[in-house]
Formats: sequence, structure tokens, C-alpha cells
Amino acid sequence: MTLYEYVSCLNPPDTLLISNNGNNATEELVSLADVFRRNHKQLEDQSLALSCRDNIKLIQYLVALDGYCSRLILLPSSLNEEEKQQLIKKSECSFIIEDDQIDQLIMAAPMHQQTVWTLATSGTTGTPILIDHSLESLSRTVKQPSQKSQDFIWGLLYDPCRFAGLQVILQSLIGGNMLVFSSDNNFNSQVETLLQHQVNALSASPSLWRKMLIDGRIRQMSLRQITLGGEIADDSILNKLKSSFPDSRIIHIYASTEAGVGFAVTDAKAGFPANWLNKPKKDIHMKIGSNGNLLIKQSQQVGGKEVLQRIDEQGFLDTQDKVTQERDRILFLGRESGCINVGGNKVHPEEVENVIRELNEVADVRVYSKKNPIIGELVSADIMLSEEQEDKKTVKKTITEHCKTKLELYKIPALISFTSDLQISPAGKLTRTSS
Amino acid sequence: MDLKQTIIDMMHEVAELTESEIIGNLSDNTLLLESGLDSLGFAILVARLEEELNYDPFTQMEDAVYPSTLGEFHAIYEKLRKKHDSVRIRQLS
Repeated sequence: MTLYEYVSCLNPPDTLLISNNGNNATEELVSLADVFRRNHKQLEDQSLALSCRDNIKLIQYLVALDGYCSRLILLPSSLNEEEKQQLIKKSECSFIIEDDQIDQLIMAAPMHQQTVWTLATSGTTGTPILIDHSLESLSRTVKQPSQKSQDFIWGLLYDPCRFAGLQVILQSLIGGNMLVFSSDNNFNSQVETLLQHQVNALSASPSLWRKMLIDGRIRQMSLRQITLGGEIADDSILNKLKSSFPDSRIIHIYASTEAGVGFAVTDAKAGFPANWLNKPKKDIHMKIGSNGNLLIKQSQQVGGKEVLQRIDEQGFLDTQDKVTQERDRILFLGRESGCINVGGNKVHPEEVENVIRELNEVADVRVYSKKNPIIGELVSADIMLSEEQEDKKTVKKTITEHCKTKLELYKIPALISFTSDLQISPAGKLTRTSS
Repeated sequence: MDLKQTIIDMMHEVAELTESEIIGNLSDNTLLLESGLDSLGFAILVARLEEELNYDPFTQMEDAVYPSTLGEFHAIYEKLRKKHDSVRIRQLS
């Protein structure tokens, strides 16, 4: 089924999409799609790139274009002009839609196929790459409305052009739940919008959840469904969410734009049960590679040149996420590429962050690599304190002493600085660019 | 500012962090590798000094000639300090 067909046969609440700019009823989505298709026959069965700053308009386009064009390349608004042009060129698309402007780039023969949804992800090097999906692969985890979930009002905090954001949008359009979002990515207006429309189901990255808990306003919300994704969900954030929202179901999702959705963990504990490695969960097989990375094989592999290079002869994709087994649990250590190399000793920033977060004085922390002429790299940390402290020297000592109880010496941050705001990327993740 | 004392004080700070012990009788002739700090310790010392002084001779030096004694270590910083201070004066005026 196409998105248009799904939306057409929904019996949703009258208002499906709510933004801080205005409502948009479901019938409108369908009729707008009809008008658009009538007026833009040149786009039928063509490949096109879409860049749109208005979230409501973006969703209108998705409904109009899925099942109409042969390929839809979604360009997040966070891309800079150079990256955007690079991806447009790589995709060899025929048309580009930028907000309201439609331009033809090249002439191409129409291709009648199920619409390919092409997403941009930063991959491991930072340069955006293209990953092909289908509506089917993107909506695998969409839950059909049940008694429990039909009253869910979902909040969208992710970029709608990225994998995680689309999961939430499709939960609304296919699952029939109401969707609330802010038209801009300003943190303050996002939080206010969530509160104003009484959102009770929310998906965000662990870093964003931490930021919202520190901000405090969301504690007033009666959340019934909390989802975490995009980064490692450690026990610290899971426990904090459990105690702040005792009535909520908490799940964390392991997924990547490259692998598609992997799996959801519903016991609100970090990592996943070790016995999942031996028995395939639904259609997902997992194992740990000799390099310590998690390998996944799914019947629905997503496409794209760069991803296909990382699939071995048995069809397993190297997720490039390092894992370790601790008793009956498999825990995530961090991205393979994110390691800090301290004179040959590898350090996962996430591991150090987890230890530092145990301190009450620390609201959140970002650990990253700092280049060093003697030993290559050193571990550095930016700390956001729970409360302003006059005596920074004592706080630094507290942090260092605590780290010594849990970490090898080379993992302890050599440099500690304090910040009032940790940078979170448009994809909701802590940015750890080295300096 | 007494640069030599700054370096020695910082060495003690780093020794505490890395659970090492600086030897009692530090002098200009003391070999760095026998002072009590290991290579991790020195790496952190250089990084902390950069944070404190706003310059790092090791990243700025054209030939990678590493000092072997405490005196040589101090001299590299002293040399760059003069250069750094004169640049700062030019920027301020």
C-alpha cells in the first residue's frame, strides 16, 4: 500500500497533524495530494529530491509523492549547501523540490516502480551518504492502533527527513495517531508545543531526553509511551525516566539508517538479552563479529552501494557498533569509529560518559578526543553541572576521583571544562568532534 | 610569572591524576623519563600547560626535537613564551 492509500482509509481523529502553526486534517492531506498530482504530471514515475523547511508541507509532499514518483530523495534541512549539492549529484535525480519551487535537472525516462525512499545519513566518516529504503522497510515497527495506543498523541522531535523522524511520522499517518510538532527546531518552542498539546507518547535520543529532564518542564507531562533511539541508552537515563514517569512504558530501539530497524528492547534495561544471539528474533539474526562489532542479518536488507560493501558472504551487515557481553546481557560500547586512541589504548567516549553521569553533580557530559603531540589523542570532557559551582577545582577533583574507581588511568579525562550547553546534532545525538 | 614553577606545580598535579610520584630532587639535569611521569603523564602535562599558557611548543615546533631533561623542557617553553608574549602585545596595541 502507498502512504496515500493508508491515509485514505484511516478513521483517525479529525485532526491528525498539529503544529504550532496550525492544524491539518486528514481529508486535507488526501485532497491536497490529489490536486498536487493533477498539477504536476511531469513528476509521475520520476526520481526527485525533496528539501522542505516547513514540516507540515513536507508531510503533505510525502503523502502526494509516495506511490507517484519512482524515487524520493529526502534532504534534511540541516545539510549545508555543499552537502546538499553533493547528494543531489550522487542521486542523479531528475527533479528537485525546494519548499515551493520545483525544478527539472535532467531528462530521464519514467520508471514505474514502488517508490524508493532514499535517506541521507552521515555514515561513519561524516560525509552524508544515501541509503535506499521502501515505505515497507521504513514502517516495519509501526503499530496498528490498539486499545492501549489509539489515544497516543505522538510528539515529533526528530528531523522529519531522517530515519527516526520518519518512524514517528509514519506511526501517525499509518497507525492513525495524532502527531504534534513544532515548525522549527528551537528547543524551547519544541518543549512548549509538546506541553501545550498534551503529548503522551514521545521518541527522542538519550541526549535529548537528558536535556529535557534537566530543563524540567516535561516532568509535568503524563507520558504513557517513552521511546529512546539513535544513541546508546544506558541504565542511568533509563532509570531516571523510570522514576520520572512511573506509569510510562519505556522502550529503546536499536536501529540505524543503514540497517533499518533492528529491534526494540522493552525491559527498560540497557543493552539486550544475550540469548537473542542464539535465537532469531522475528526475522533478525544477530551475532558478534571477530572484531567485536554487532552483525545483523535481516530478511529485508536495505540498499545502497556503501551499505552493500559491509555485508559479508552470509548476508550479515557489520553495524560498526562495538558490543560486549556481561553475564546474560549484551551491552553497547560505542561506535567503532568513535574510539579515542590514547597511545594505542582504545577508549569509547560513551563508556567514560556513563561513569561521569553517575555523579549527582553532573547533569550531562560529552567526552571527546583532543589531539596530543606526545601520545596521539587524549580523553577530554565537557561537563554540564546540575547546579552552578563556584569551586570548579574541587568538582574536577571529584570527577577525576570517581573515574579512578571505575576506569583505567588512560580513560580518565585529562582535560575537563565546563559548559552551560552540550551541543546536540540535528539528528538528536551528542556531537563529539575532536579538537 | 615563574614558568619553571608553573611547570613543576603542574607536574605534581598530573602525578596525582596518574597515580605517579615525582622524585624529590628535581633539577635542570633531571631526565624527564626519570622524573616520575610516564608518557601518558607527559602527554597530559603538555595538554594542561597548553590550557594554562595558551600555547604549545610541541605542536608549533618545526623539527620534532623532544627535550630529554627538565631544563630542556623548560627552555622550549621559555623560548616560545617570549615569542607568544610579543605577539600578544602587538595584538593588543
